[in-house]
Amino acid sequence: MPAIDFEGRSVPIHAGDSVASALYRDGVRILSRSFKYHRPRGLYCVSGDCAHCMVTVDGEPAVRSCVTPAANGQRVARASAWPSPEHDVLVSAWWMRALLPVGFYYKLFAKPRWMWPLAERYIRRVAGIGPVDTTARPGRILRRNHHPDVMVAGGGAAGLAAALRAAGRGESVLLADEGAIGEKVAPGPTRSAIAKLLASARAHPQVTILEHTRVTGLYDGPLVIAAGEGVAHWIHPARIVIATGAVEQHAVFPGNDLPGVWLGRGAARMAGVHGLAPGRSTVVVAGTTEALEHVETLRKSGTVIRLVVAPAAIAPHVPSGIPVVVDGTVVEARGGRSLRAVVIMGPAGRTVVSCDALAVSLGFVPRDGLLRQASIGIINGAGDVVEPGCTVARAIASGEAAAERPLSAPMSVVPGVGAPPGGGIVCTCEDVTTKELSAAWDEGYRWTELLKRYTTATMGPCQGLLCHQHLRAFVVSRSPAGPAGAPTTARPPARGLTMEEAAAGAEHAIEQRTVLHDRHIDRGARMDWAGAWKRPASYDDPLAEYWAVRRGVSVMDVGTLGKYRVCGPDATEFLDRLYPVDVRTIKPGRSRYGLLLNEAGHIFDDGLVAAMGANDYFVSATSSGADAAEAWMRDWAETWRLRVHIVNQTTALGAINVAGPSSRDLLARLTKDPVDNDTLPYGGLRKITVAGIPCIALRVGFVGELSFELHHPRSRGVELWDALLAAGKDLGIRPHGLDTLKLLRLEKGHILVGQDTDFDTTPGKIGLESLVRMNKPYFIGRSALERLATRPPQRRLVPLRFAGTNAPDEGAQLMDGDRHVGYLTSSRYSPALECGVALGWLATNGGSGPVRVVAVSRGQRRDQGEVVSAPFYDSKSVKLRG
Amino acid sequence: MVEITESRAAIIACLDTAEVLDRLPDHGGAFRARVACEELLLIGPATAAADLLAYATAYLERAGSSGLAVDVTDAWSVCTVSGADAAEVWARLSENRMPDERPAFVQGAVASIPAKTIAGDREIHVITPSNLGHHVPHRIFSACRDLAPQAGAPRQFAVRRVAPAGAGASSTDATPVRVAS
Amino acid sequence: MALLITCPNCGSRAYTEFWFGGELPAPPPAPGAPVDASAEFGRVWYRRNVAGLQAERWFHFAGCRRWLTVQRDTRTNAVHAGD
Repeated sequence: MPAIDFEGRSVPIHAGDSVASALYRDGVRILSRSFKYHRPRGLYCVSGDCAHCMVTVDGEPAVRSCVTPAANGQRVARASAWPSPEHDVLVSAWWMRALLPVGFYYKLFAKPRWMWPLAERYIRRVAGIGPVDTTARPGRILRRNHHPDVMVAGGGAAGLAAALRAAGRGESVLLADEGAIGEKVAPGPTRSAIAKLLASARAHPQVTILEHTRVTGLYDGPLVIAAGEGVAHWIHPARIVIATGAVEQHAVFPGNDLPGVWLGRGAARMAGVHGLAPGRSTVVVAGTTEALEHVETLRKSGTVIRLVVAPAAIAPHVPSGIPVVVDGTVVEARGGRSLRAVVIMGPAGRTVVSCDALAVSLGFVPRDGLLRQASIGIINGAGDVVEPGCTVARAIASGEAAAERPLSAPMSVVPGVGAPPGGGIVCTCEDVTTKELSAAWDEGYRWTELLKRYTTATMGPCQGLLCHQHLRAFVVSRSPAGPAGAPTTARPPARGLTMEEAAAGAEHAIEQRTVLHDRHIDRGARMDWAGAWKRPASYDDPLAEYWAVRRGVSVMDVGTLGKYRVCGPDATEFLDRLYPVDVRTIKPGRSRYGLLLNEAGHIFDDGLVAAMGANDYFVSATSSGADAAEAWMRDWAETWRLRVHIVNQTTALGAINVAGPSSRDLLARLTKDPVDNDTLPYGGLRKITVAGIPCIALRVGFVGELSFELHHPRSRGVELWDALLAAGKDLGIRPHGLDTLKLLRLEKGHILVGQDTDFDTTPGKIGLESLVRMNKPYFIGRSALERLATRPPQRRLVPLRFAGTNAPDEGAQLMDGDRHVGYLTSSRYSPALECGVALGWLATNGGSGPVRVVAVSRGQRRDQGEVVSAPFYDSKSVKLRG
Repeated sequence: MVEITESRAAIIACLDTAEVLDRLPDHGGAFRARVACEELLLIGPATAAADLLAYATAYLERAGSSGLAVDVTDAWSVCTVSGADAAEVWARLSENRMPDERPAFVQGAVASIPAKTIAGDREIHVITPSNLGHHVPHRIFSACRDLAPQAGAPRQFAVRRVAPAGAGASSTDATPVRVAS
Repeated sequence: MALLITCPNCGSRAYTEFWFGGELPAPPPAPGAPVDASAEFGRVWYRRNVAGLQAERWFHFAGCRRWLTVQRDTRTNAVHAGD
């Protein structure tokens, strides 16, 4: 016999069982303990709307057992009770409720101040609906996108009618229902009508039906998220129809949340679908004609109907033989852990009736969680959700109208019971009593939105499906005129959504890779993020990499650099306006280092501008700034309406920097083209063929040694890398990574934009005024620099030298006596110079600033430093110009 | 069932005024992807690279408005997904709607990266920057396990056209052009 | 989650495919034209930041990699085409 594992014991499953019905048949009556007061809760709505039946199933908390099919081997347990749900010590919160008034956490524990951290730790442990399994799972849930013309939420009569009407007009329709369509409806004419509509919808090629798929939220777009079985559906419709139906009205009186108190439909479902009686002796409140059917269904399940309370219009139709109280009201439900008796107020006075089940049918309220999430004009309501308790024919007509109208339907207002003086739990999700609502009102919270936030009513799992109307009715009863009783916004998810479903389809961080990526991995490189790229930080021996560059020859993968071809009739004019350097005087075969300034005169990127021919340039930018530089160029080309072609070649070209005193010798082995200092001088560029691969060779000086940056087609990159490493074996060649690069350039005092520059760094602040041609009539940032020229900078980026073998931390703060004067942006120990070299910001206050400073690193370590001039290494830059 | 392969393409960027690009004639069946008013990509099999570049250069020179033709093949990676479930792969990896006509050209994110996609008959060619070329195949294999993705051998780029009704072609059936989105 | 922007080259796309370029500033002075320093400072640093329709720039990095200008109502996020 199939069974579920319920808290260590085996509970048998019958055909068609939900988890709740299987437990109920086994005698389990308390399914949960409430959120704040730990009151016992049992089955109530049996339609997935309230939160009374939430249990943990197979490690997933907050599962509504009444709508979850039971399956063999499921592990089911109840949560949030100690020592057990039957006897929960934490129900003492209910007995102490005078000490825990509404908003108590804002008032209690404020003084003494040490109390709150202790109290918070305790509250965290006892609050909540269940533990979450935090062990990571691989993404089992897929994301799938849909683009129907019309999205319908709800597969009842109205939803199906709306789908068929839209499809009939040639539109594509996606309809989602949270269960199997028609299963919630008792056998009868409604059920047959739905079955007929469903058959037509299934047969229609324009209609796609998703069952067991809950619509959880509506978002801008519009975008509808619906969670199905193993799939998170992202739906992008043009229009939305909400036909989610109605719920029976939640009854409010003292004891209204006891196990044994049911909504009428809930008791009838348990009796009719599962054959389980709600109790031995039942009182029925028959406020709707539908409730008369419930009486029959309940009787058939074997319970004795003790009494029916009905309004005058319905009373005559109650089957004979059953006592009736006409126009009576239930004012109290009595019991400890379950119902024992109800107190009824009728025209003849008070009656106390012993019973163990109460089935209440007071009317219908819209299941309007989705409608209250959004106020977009392309959403229509249809059926019960706008006309609760309407007939099938009316629902069908409403659905058809919703499929055609582009306007949103008004939300219907159903009077709730408000706050009867006797009390009761208004919001069962959050345990908000009528007394708390009144107290909040007295404290001055007199608007639905404020009451909601202060009491947390409607903020629980059901998002007000049970209590929203009551909240509004309460406000309206106290303040009949005015907008204070306006509906509140519901928040997604409208139905339960797991973190896995929400994260379905999300990407891990996506790496950009050069074509040499696998070569680096094979060499054992330590790869690290550099912006959106993965780059080798170092290989096996960083110090050996360093000396290879300084004394021998080394290669580095610089394929991540931004690279562009900028050409066209206005290319020179364009670049001359973009950069503060003089572009017009760059001759073909020569390059110039340029800073990119924004209109405020601040540096945001740097690179080379190299002339290939007339009005034909090769431009480079930093690796992390490449995309921003392209966007910048395109924006200005459009603004100035200049005729210029911008080809982003960042990914089309790889680049390898061959650096070191022997770099020319190495190149000469692999190319027949001349690479001597006269043909290819420092700052020059030339097209050469290296190992059979066409390259643009740029003489650059970033690392302070003779170097050749070889730009080549990406597809030939591995070939070139391998050829260089093979040909340089006897020269002791080894590649160097980003860590070594950063040290090498620091020894030359070369800045890294973004590390040594701040968001407001002008060329003057870093001693690069020479790179700005102020006598050019125009370049971006010129007027800002002109305005700033009248004020000397308050701080400058300066080179500093630190004696000793331990360079201060990057970020170390600089002190002059006990005055704080700056901080270090870059700092490394230099093996060649045997001292620490650094760049840092120093307060100069218009002057030149202190010469001797102390750098304070982590752990209060102090290093004496002095401001020097850069470069630290090869101060005349003889090596890189050779 | 879907097959994932690398397509070896020749991609020639043609940059000129909108009028000149509008009039660029068809050449050897190469796909014309209009990226923007002043940029068009000619996409054909890798073997046609030199021919396409020469054709585009000559055409733009004749047009006389300082246009530019550049071989940008290396800037891109082309991942081809073919099979009956190609449309399903699209539905999982892209939030954007695939137009009904075939062939179709769509620019927009696929698997959260920039992409240009050409849709043929039961196939999509996802063209992404080459520094992200590893990503789309990886995502397909993890997001579409239930569709039994198979890796195929690299092939020359070609867009499979839908056979016109009644043509009796051997390799295509008379599937309707409309593809469920 | 899906504020939609219609790119003239690519069609309707979620805003996550774009980089936001900010409120469209006044046009820059023509290169070489005389510049009033304080007016230029205002043009570079200040924005109107209206509650209402705002002309703004977006760059479609995931698609055509071109700039476009839209009118967005900053109160409702309704997006309209145009300068």
